[in-house]
Amino acid sequence: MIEYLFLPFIGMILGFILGRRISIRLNLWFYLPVGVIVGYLLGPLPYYNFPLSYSFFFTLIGLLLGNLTVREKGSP
Amino acid sequence: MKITITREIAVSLSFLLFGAGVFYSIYSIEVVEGVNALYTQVMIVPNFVTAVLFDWRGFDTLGECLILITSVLVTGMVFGKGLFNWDFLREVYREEDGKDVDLGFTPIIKVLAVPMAVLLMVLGVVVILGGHITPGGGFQGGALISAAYVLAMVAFGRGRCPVRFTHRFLESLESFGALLFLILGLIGMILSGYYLFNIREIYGIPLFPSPPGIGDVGIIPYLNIGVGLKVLAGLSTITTLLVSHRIVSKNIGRG
Amino acid sequence: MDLQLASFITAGALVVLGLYGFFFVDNVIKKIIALSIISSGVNLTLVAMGYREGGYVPIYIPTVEFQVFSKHMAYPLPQALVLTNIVIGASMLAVMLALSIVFYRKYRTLKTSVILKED
Repeated sequence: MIEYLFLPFIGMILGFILGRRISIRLNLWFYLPVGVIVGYLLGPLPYYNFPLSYSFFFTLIGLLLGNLTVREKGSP
Repeated sequence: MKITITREIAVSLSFLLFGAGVFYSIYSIEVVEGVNALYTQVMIVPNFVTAVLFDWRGFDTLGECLILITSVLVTGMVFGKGLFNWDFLREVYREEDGKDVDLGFTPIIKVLAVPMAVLLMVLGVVVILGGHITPGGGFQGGALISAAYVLAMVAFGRGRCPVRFTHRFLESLESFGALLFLILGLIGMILSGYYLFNIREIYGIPLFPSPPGIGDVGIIPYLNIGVGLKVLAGLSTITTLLVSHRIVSKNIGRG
Repeated sequence: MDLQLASFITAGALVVLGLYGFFFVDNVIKKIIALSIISSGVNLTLVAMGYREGGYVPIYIPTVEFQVFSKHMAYPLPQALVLTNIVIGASMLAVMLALSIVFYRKYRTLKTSVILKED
């Protein structure tokens, strides 16, 4: 199991770092369905055994987590 | 006037000669067959372009990273960063030049820019991470994330940009990427004696756990992550420097 | 016409076009664009050198047998070289554009004939 979930986990970390830098609050109920749709359209992107790009979905979850919890506010 | 005419004649002659030579040499290239068999004897990662980039010719990629860092440094120096003499910039940037104008775009672009930027960032991370299996890699993914930043900056203006990549953050990302590359090379040197050697596993533990059937990838995904972070930081820094006038004013003490 | 030959001819045309623009156009920005076109021609030459008629993409698919795949694969080495070349071209482009901005600030024009004080 860890073989299939190691790459999405690193993606979650990178998405967390990037999502912390988006200064406006992202709407969770818009981005999750869009993430599922785009992941389905991408197909099995890194690993060829699942009809949905779950790495994309996990990275999006990481980015939303980073944005909704430790978002940086204020002007640059 | 006479000097100009002679120079143009000389330039056109050399241009004709050089163009004919280039065209002839391009026309008579013959493609030889056959290092593929040697390459595919030892399959390491499925994507052979990544294998060539990071395993067989890893020094090339290292030099390329350093070239990108040097380019960012030189661009910053031209705009007044660093401890060299920037008196010419005080003369060049006069007082009446005005300020940055951050008007932004129409609401159509503003509404679409943030979701596009978010999806582009996520796609860039996936492209970076899947670089050893699918087409892609560090350069492409980093360029995608940088494109997301540029899209948000063009749509909203630099002051009100919702994607806040500060200069300090970009600097730390760039240093982290380059150092990750160098230190991973040192691990190969300690364990096998060769710099940037691809270590598959340490004491039976694989370095990057991946499903069976696609080979042992070793340190190549980590090298991809380092290169991706570095390209992202480099291209974003260059864009920020080129687009803004306020940075130069701050650098030369007139901000 | 052969696809590889067509690619070579296109690359030669791009290089010659870029050389013409670099020598005979007066604007600095247009000279930079011409250099970028020359770089595109060189990249196209390198990629077309690795082209193989009816070959596979150089990504190993487990359904294909290994010997067949290694015989009919396109060259990965020129593609890696092109990948390197693109990034180097981008960094060169950034330095040239930055210098041209300072140029314009100093001389208030981008025409080389005005900057070099020729008539």
